Amino acid sequence: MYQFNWRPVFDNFDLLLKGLLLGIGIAVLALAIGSLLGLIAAFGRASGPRPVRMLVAAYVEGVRNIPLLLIIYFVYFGLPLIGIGVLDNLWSFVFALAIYSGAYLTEIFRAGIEAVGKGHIEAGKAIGLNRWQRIRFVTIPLMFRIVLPSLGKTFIALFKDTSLASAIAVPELTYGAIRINVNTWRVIEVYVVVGLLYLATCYAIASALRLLERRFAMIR
Amino acid sequence: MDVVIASGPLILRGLLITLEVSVAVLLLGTLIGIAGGLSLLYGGQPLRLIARVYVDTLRGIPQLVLIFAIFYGFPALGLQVSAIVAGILALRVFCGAHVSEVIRGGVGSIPRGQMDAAQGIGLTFAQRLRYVIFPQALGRILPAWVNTAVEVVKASSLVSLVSVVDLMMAIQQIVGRTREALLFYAVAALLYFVINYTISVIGVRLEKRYACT
Amino acid sequence: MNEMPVTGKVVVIEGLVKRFGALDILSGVDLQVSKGEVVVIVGPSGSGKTTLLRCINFLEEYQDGRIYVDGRLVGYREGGDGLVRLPDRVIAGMRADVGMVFQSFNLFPHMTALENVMLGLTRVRKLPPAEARERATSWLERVGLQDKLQAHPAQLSGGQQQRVAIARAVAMEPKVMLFDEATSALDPELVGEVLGVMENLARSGMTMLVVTHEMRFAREVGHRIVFMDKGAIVEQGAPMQIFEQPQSERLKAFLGHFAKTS
Repeated sequence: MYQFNWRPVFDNFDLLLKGLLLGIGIAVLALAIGSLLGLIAAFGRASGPRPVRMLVAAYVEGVRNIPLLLIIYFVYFGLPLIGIGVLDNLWSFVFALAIYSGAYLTEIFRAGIEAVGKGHIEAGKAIGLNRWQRIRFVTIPLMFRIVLPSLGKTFIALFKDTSLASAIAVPELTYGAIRINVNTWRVIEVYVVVGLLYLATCYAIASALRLLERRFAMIR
Repeated sequence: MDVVIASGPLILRGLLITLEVSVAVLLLGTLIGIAGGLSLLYGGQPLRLIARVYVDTLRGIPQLVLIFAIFYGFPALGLQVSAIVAGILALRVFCGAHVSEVIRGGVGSIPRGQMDAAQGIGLTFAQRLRYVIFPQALGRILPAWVNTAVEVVKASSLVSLVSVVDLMMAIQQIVGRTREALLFYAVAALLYFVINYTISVIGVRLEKRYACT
Repeated sequence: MNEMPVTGKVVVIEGLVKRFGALDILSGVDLQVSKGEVVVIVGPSGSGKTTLLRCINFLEEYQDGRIYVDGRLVGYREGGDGLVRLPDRVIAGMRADVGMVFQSFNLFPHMTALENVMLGLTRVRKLPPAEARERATSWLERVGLQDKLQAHPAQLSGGQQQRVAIARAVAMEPKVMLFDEATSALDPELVGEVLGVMENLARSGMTMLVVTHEMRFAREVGHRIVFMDKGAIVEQGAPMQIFEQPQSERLKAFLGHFAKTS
């Protein structure tokens, strides 16, 4: 009969908490970098020359059909073997996750750009804004409000994906669980606690998102 | 090139394991999802609540955590599971939650008027579902389900983290041995891409067949 | 038994009450409709006219009162202390005898016009396919859509879709036909073809309850006009009486909104 003993897990709670915060940090970074990538790619696909459009399409389709784990391994194990060995495991993971999220964000932003009504853009033209000004003052602000819900969902997904960082020994939450398990063999306890931590965090993020949406999001 | 040929059998075996895991997960996961979706749509209060809790809980946990939990946890409770079974079980649970939402969304997006009209001509509940609701829901559910299938194939790579020798693990082993990272990661990417792209193409075909609404 | 010894009355409604939360949508409606009678229900929006219709074929539940269609209590049976909801199968059977035409047509988009009409005939009336097809075709011809049998709703105009919807309902040979603002969603030039079909139906002796804003139709085709406001029947009578000599202030105010039709 399994004897429950929760002490070892709570003794190491700071380890889990640090891992949780690291996970959030990674997700934020990956979202930021991925968004940059995604924005550029989305605008490229929307209004760039043919080669650019095809490149973006290849990026999006290529990345969305392969496992995140493969990208992580490629960046962490593969790049050094072909000479690009500057990133440690943490930054490898951030970079890999950014590339992965960038593909999804490209599609999200592309849909958002298309959704910005022609009327708004024409209004911008009518008051004499040039192309860059229209993009900066009309398209992008409106687009962000439209894509806010999708961005939020992506962020939560990225946070859950940080669990894969444990595969390359990045000390986030799942890695913390593995370590505590290996040291104390309190399997059930540690995974229950870690599961609840993930749940609570995702729920908190989702609630914060709802508040943000209420304030900012647009339903045309 | 010789290297690729020499590793061929290992890659093939890994590929088969990946496909085996994916199919095993998708089959039962879809069944669970149908049950879950119907519960969310038409179940009584307790059933709907259980389904809701099921779906919402799984939305908040990473798949890897459940795989580890089952792989390490079941033996602790006296249930012996192999790594591959642990992986399949965990992924099925997630697939079920996914498909539940897909079905709920697909049926939920059908206008209320269709139900009214079906009731209006006196069809029973089962007849309404069979002749009016589900045919229309299918066109919306199919593309989303195909997405789920693609996600399952990608998620199957997680079983490599409990040492199942699927395609991902096979490639890792080969790269470890031969140091030909670029080549073999590209091979892996190509194989995953081909599988998932094929699934998507079949999905588009099927969608065209059923889309008239 | 839920038989009511009221001969010749197809629909009998007594003290119908429907609440939504704290709001009374229908606050005690009494209405009787005889066989072959065309009753037109008018009133401002929010007066409960659509809800009344939807209670008759139990698309809406009601909290108090009784509705009888062809002598049978709709939706419930008399239980120990009040109304007990009937099982879905029984309700479905009752609905087969009440035809309904909706404002938004609600044709089944994945079926052709013919299939739309046949569905109820084969699955509910349990007719053999050949007979169902024959009856469906005949009704579609009667509404003027003989060339559109194989068309899907998406290929039909609004007026054509609504005519298919009417055929779908009437092919079931119901005891009474309910029309819920059947022309309100149509472009003006298509309204006439649908009203024409409805008028033909009325002249052929169908019992009809029609909720509409089409005052000319009410005046020319209706046998009785019922004016509803705030969940109750305020005034009712023959068209001449209602339109020429409205009694209540509310009816006068309501009619004042409609330009006199020549």
